[in-house]
Amino acid sequence: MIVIRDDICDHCGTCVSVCPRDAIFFGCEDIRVLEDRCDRCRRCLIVCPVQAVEDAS
Amino acid sequence: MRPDKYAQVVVVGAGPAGLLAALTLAREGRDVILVDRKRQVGVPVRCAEGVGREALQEYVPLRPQWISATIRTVRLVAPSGEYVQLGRRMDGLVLDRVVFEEDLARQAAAAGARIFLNTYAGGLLMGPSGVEGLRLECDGQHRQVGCRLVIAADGVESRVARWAGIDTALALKDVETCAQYLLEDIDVDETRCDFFFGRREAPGGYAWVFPKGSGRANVGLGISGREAAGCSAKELLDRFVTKHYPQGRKAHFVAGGVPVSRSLRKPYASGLLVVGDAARQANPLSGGGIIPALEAGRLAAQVAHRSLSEGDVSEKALSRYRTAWNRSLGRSQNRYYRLKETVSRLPDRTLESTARALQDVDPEHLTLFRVFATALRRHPRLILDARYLFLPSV
Repeated sequence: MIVIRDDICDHCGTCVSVCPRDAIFFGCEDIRVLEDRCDRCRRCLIVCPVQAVEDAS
Repeated sequence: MRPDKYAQVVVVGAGPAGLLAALTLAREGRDVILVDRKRQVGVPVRCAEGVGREALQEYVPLRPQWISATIRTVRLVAPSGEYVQLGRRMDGLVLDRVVFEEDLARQAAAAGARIFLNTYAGGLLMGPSGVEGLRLECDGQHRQVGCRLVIAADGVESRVARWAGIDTALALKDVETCAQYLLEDIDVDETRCDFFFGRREAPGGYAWVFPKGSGRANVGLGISGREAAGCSAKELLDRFVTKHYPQGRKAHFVAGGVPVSRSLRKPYASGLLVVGDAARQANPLSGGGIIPALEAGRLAAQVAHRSLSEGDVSEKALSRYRTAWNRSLGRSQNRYYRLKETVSRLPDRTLESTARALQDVDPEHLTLFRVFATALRRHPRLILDARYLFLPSV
């Protein structure tokens, strides 16, 4: 599964902008990948400017 | 469930596009709510803050406290260190966007707009005839706001438009992934902006140094999403800073994405208008987004005001916004998009030979267009692509 590391994430939303499945929940305080929507295309992981997105599988 | 609040228009996102839309509508006497998930307007600034003085003044009377630096000249630097200098007496600005946006927010509030910060948009309320409101969340409290019209100015992530069924997902080649430091205690020419190109330093993008006054500068770097697998903008930026400004003090860091796409084909739906980065309206060649955002915010507010007066916020009525956008900046943005596609494939040696070819030309007579035209002459295969620049855009 794809995870976003909160300790590194800058909450810039770049991952959200490329997600073709709208699978990234971007709330007030937290940002996370919704596993049931994610098809693991890894675009979020590629574009993250600070490498906060990881493939944890 | 009945809405807790009501406004004629709800604007999501208090960046330049959302602020100018809210300000324009409030001045027309419209009942406007502006929400933003940030706790303070303008913070953090995910932007290099460069803008033309004349262009900015088209939208708002300029105030001196918004200005960090005045720019007279621009350098495009090739990997070898050779550079092309553009202009000597330009009139560019590096803004203090926090002060700028706080000021616009104050003006909007004074005109009657209600502004809610630390407020997150969680979804659209849809009725039989389209958008009828928004679900909002603030400190764990859920609220609903009913409205006739939503203006989505929610930036690069562009989620609001998705909720209305508009596909806003960017292709990897159409996003620049960026990182920026505010560096302090550095030696920079405070009247000059520098752009550094090179496939190794910034593949599919560039690094920038925009002076902020008092020995400070926004030093950032963006790379194409297409080139970003296995490296990150932050890593490349750290390398760039170590090479060029080893003494600089990293006072502040921001990351961010810049859409370098064609603008949304359909930036509206029934009861919804999409503006700024959310509508992919930034200049796809430079990544500059402030002026397009202000233009879109104003156009959207004008169309919204007229449509509300006519009692018709249907898709058809709101399509006038797209027509207006295409007439003003949309067509030229499409031309910039084609130029980006071509320029992003230029090899480093072309940039270097271009710099050499142009070094005796008076900077006052050099335009970005002439620079790229020269580069393309040196790399004839790309002229085939460049021909599209001269065809009228759709």
